[in-house]
Amino acid sequence: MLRSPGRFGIGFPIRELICLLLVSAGARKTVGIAVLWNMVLDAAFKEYYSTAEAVGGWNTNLWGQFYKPRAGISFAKDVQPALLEMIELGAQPSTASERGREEASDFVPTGRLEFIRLMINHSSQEDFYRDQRSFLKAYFYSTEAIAEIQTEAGGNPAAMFAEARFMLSIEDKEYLKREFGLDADPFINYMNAKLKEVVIDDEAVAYATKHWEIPQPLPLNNGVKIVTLHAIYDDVVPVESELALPKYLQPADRSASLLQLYTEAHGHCGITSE
Amino acid sequence: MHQGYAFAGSCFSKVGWAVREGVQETADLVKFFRDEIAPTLGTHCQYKTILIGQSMGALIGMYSALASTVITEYPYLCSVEKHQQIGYKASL
Repeated sequence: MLRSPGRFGIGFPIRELICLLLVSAGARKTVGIAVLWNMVLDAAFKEYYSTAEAVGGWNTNLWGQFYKPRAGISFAKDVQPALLEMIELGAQPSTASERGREEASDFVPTGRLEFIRLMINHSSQEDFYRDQRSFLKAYFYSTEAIAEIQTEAGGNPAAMFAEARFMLSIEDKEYLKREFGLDADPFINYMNAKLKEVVIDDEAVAYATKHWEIPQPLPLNNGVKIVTLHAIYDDVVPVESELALPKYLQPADRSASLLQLYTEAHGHCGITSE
Repeated sequence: MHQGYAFAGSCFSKVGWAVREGVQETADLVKFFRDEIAPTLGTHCQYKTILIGQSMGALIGMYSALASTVITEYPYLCSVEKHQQIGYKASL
């Protein structure tokens, strides 16, 4: 674990402060990552579902459109089993007993999952497949959470994709072909074609920007002591958001403090007891 | 609990992205514990509440640490009456 050099505490003049999920320089990237996850999941698994309700009631094929999941849906009971079933069509996960774990089982690398990992630029294969948690959290964020954000914003605020074009390196394509027999070009071509359907809503961008670029520091309650732990290679909420926390948080007095810790782990909340 | 520690958690009234609900209902949970459970532990009880959350839960914890003036000013972020935690831990 790495300790942040920028530690706030008693005795330090604290004039700056809090980054929440939707504020700071990392916010646009966070939203963009969610949309990217959504797009790449759609490209990799689109042949396994045909309707919005196919994946336990949550729509993977958002592409920047409004979406509200049905009332009462449970991610754990409804979405996760359907998602895992879909993934198992191309990937047989090892069992918990085989791994000697009581947690969810790991995924085994397959062409489609590796395509996703490479497209989102997740550099650690080991962390990406560990006990499914990173994948499931990213799926949650790229469906329900992004839908909520879009609803709040009144449209799609993912302006960062307006001029985007997806690609993989020749080496990555050769790796997928050699190791898994997967031709990545049809997936990439599909993503680039669908990208044109993403409508950027200027008012939504303005609305979202208004809220994630908070004009003044936010006051903390007296006496609050905050410890945060963030993976440096978080592929859902980028570490930039964490780094911006001190800029936006403003303790009311010296009784409040913020301690930021970082791990070299990969993935969103991919933090283990080690 | 007789050793001075207790752990409480709750589901939220809304599934999925539920930051507003999470902040309010976490505050309700703290209040319930303090009003209904803590008095049964004796007068020596010193309250220290630690919120722990990860991912969206960390965001809920972070919002919970903000003073109520912020909540009024940024109703988009969440809606909650002022309450106070002594500390919390979050992994964003």
